Amino acid sequence: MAGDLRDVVGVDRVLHEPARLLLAALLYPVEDADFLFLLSESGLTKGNLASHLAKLEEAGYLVVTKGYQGKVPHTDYRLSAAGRSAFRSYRDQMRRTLGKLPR
Amino acid sequence: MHQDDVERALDRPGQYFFEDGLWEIVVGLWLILTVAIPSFIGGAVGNWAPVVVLLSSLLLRPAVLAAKGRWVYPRTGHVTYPEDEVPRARTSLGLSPATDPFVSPVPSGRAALVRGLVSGTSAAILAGISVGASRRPGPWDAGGQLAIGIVLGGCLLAAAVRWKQRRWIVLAPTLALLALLVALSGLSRGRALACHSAGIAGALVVSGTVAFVTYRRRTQAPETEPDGR
Repeated sequence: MAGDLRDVVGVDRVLHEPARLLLAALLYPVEDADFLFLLSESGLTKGNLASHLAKLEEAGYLVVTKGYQGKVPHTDYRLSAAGRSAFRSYRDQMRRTLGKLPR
Repeated sequence: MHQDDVERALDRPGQYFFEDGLWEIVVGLWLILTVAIPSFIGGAVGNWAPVVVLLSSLLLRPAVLAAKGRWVYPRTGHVTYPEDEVPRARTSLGLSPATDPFVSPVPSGRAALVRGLVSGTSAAILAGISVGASRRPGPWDAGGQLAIGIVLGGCLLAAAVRWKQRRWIVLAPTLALLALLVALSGLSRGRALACHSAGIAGALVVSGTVAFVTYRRRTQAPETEPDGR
């Protein structure tokens, strides 16, 4: 049992943080989403959200597209292939680990 | 973050598409224009209604997205949904125009062309069936109306559970009840179809308007465009 549960030690630390996991889960089923959507759905502050998005981008999990809508800056976020794969792996790993725990 | 929270977050973008009610308003107005009015007029217009319905349904998604771009995205953000969310089986059955509102990716490139071809073929087949059926009025008219209502209500109920839209739980039996009333009314085919489609459209528009007003009250436009920069 303990040996099986040791898997959790190697869990992806970038995605293990709750806010980043939420952002990855929101982005996983879509092509891309903008900052405003992630802000309204996550309930994070702008600064906090920007910081978590930057960490996901640093890890290579996010593709950021910056542009303008008219004269207003507009940023879209998309999970990269690595980000999608990492999210799937994290989800499977946590399911396996939590599934082994006694009720 | 609990496992259930992750599942909820994964479902959120899908729910986000439906929660503002614009889809229902657009589809309701479209039903009035393409089904209710031609059915009421009848004759040649009524016979070709299925063609108009299927071809014009290609404009539904762009219309919904344009409305969202005007009233929703500036408030709560923009989401682009993946094209591959449209199951192949559904497209091969020619159901893509009818079910497009349930998924929101914008048709683009080859996918749009394939969808157009499938829709055109389906429209031609349905028009043929419609013309043939109108020449041979049968006792299945009332049963057909009832079946439409039950199928619509059932689909809406399933969608309500899938996308967690509570208002559809009320709307689904309303549509089934409406179909029952039309089936029992003894109206002629044209009048029955006109009344039925107008009833469905009215229910959709009311439900969508309530959802849209609620959405507008619940959300606020950002004072300045928030961005990550």
